[in-house]
Amino acid sequence: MAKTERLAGRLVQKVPLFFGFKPAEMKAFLDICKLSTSPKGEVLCENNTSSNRLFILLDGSLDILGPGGTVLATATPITTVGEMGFISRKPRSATVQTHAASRLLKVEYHEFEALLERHVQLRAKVYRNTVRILSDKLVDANDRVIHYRKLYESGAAPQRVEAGEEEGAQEPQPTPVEVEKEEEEDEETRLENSLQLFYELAKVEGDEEQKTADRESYLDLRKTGYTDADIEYAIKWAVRNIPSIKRFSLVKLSIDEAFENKWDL
Amino acid sequence: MANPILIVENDQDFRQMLQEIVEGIGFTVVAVDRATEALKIIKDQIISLILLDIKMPKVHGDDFLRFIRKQGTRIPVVVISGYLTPEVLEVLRENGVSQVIVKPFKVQRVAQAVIQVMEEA
Repeated sequence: MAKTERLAGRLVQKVPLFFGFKPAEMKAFLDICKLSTSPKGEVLCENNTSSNRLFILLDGSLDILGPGGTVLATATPITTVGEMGFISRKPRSATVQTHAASRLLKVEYHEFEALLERHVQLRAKVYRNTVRILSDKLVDANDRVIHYRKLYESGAAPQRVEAGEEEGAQEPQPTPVEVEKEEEEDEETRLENSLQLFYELAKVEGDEEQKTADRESYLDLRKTGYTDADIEYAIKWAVRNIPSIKRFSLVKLSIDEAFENKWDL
Repeated sequence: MANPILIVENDQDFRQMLQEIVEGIGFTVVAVDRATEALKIIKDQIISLILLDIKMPKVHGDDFLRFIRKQGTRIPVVVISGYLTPEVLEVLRENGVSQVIVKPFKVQRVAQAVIQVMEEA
């Protein structure tokens, strides 16, 4: 199989911005990409500069740096960097620097825009995927807010003391360790509920080995950013559309196909 | 339980994915990365279906298909490939391929093809 074709397949599978791209569309996109290698420590783009270039990391790793050079995150392959500013035309919100020698695809905005002019369907898919990425980020941000609120309420962060309120008169609050344990239990319950839904709809009784594999598939989906509602939708879609489905891993494998239909504009 | 399904695919990622799909719909799998290995398998085991890639090192899938048909093997074959020229398609047609799936494939498409061919067999 041609390398380009294999790369196109991987990008469609792994990069949310390209979900639902057809092979010909992916090829048209790859035609405007330029492959380059960057040594460790090279600054690819700087905070507050114009977002006229999109990066796709194929090998290596990238540091996303905040003000003062704080590492906010480290990106690993395969992923896109700078897609939000690239599409919204807002200035970069972070500096990106190679953490290790990296191989990248670079796309110039004017070429991308010209491509979207030529392929109306592609434009629709890019916008659809962008909405989805933003929605996932929002869910993620909400989860963080809930997490920090719980930490705050548990006393891990300074609390406001109301006038006249005596120290020690409050209800005993859970410690951060207890909060984390509670969250783990919530996650465990959600996992069990999702797998139970799958087993019931698919009419299968998984053995221990299968259940272990299914748990891993569920956790992979959660790590990728899918919410429980997403997973529930994907389970229902998979049971309806994949004949004789018996393993949860197929829900994971086919989740993009499930959302291709759901998010079609 | 049905006899195993043989996957002949040289690309590791695709091979693993196909294996996961086929096992995920309840079949057992034997997976190999080249046609010569596949020949050994069908000589030694009863195979119910072959999922066959076309472009592989040394012996291509269409040559493998032509060879096993000449040997009298009637195992159903589903071709899964991104390399389909008119000439290759002609070979597939002449040698009774059950279905052809173009890469990159969808899980749904592969599962449907396998179930359909296995039900017809």
